[in-house]
Amino acid sequence: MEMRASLGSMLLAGALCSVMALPAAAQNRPNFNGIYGGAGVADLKAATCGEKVDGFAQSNNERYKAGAVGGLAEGNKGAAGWITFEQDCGPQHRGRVSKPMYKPQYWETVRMHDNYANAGGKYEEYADPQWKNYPLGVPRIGPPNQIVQVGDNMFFLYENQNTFRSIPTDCREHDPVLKYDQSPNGLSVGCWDGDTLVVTTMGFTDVTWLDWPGYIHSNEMVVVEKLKLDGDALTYDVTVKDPVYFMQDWQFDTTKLARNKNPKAQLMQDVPYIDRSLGKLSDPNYRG
Amino acid sequence: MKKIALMGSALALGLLTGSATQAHHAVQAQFDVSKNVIITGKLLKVEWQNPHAWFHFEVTNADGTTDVWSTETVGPNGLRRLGLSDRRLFQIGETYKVDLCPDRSGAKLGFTNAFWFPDGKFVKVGFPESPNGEIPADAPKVGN
Repeated sequence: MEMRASLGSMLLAGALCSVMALPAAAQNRPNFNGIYGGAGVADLKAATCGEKVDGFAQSNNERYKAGAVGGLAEGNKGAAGWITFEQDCGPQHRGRVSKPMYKPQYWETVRMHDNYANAGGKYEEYADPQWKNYPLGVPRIGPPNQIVQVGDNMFFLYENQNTFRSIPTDCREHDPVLKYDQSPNGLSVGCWDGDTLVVTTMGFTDVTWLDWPGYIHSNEMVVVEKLKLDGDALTYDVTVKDPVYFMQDWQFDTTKLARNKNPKAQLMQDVPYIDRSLGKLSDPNYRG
Repeated sequence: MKKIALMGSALALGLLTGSATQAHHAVQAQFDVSKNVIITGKLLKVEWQNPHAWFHFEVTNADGTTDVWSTETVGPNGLRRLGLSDRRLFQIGETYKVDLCPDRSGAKLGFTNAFWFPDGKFVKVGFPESPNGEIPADAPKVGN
């Protein structure tokens, strides 16, 4: 009986191995598994004693830069890598070197969205969708906070609103029906260009924005993300194609992120978004 | 220079908080970041939510009357990275001191710069004016 059980286990293990065995091509791919860009939490100091804590220590910046806790990679430049907590940093969004080139007939619409994004009331149609606690959506959500790579599948995880994206990386075409779906993050498929993972996404809602200065898009938008690893440095490039609104494709400034080297780092759950401030700010015209 | 320092702080905090805490409005659209007010009050309620957490305090004025002051902070993910997601830290009914930037309208609202906990612990969470958390000497103080 024991032998029969052992034999059964071996057969089961063999069957599982054959199912789980990665295709040869997948085995040779770079390993993207990890937490990137300062996401993930570990080794927090218990904040229960009467000591002074400085959340802004310069050393933190240095540690992030060095990738000690998974921040920006060396060599990152421009504002694109600074994912900030407040729209006071609007100037850095506006300061991006690369800007979308809208067709002239949409300039006024974009301007209205930018000017009245905070106003609410009769201008509510121009509100930044974030005010309504709507998901950021691709590509505004930025690079993933964590990547899980399993064979010919990638899973991009984001702290923001506990978002996930499931991306087959076997170079398949978009599903002929689902590519006309309408969601903030769209339908993604991936393919390898050498060591670079190219993710193409379509099937978007037109409710989300691309960035802070009122950058709207149509649901014909196609987003192409390119991810490349150099050691623990992740290079993230985005190109937005929108045949309805754009005169030409818009390429984001390159972002470089460091992989978190702390093995204890863990992505945390986000809590609900409950913003009730639209139209109620002291100065609704202050846009930053 | 002050503005540059503030922007630097915002950038530094951005690094600390990551994309999960993107917020919806400019702090300066609501709060006067050039002013500080210090309140001391009893914690009434914590709203642990995005894009910003809120803390509500009952403040007893010099004449014995009370007001409710509400102060906003960075989002819960940012607070977590500062070690403040530990729910044992904020006890309803305990007395806290808060350095905040007051609301432009005069409402009893603010954007939190720092908390002093009942055990004396000091944590900067917003726009620090100095590396040691010194508050401008002329900052109004409210509450006993």
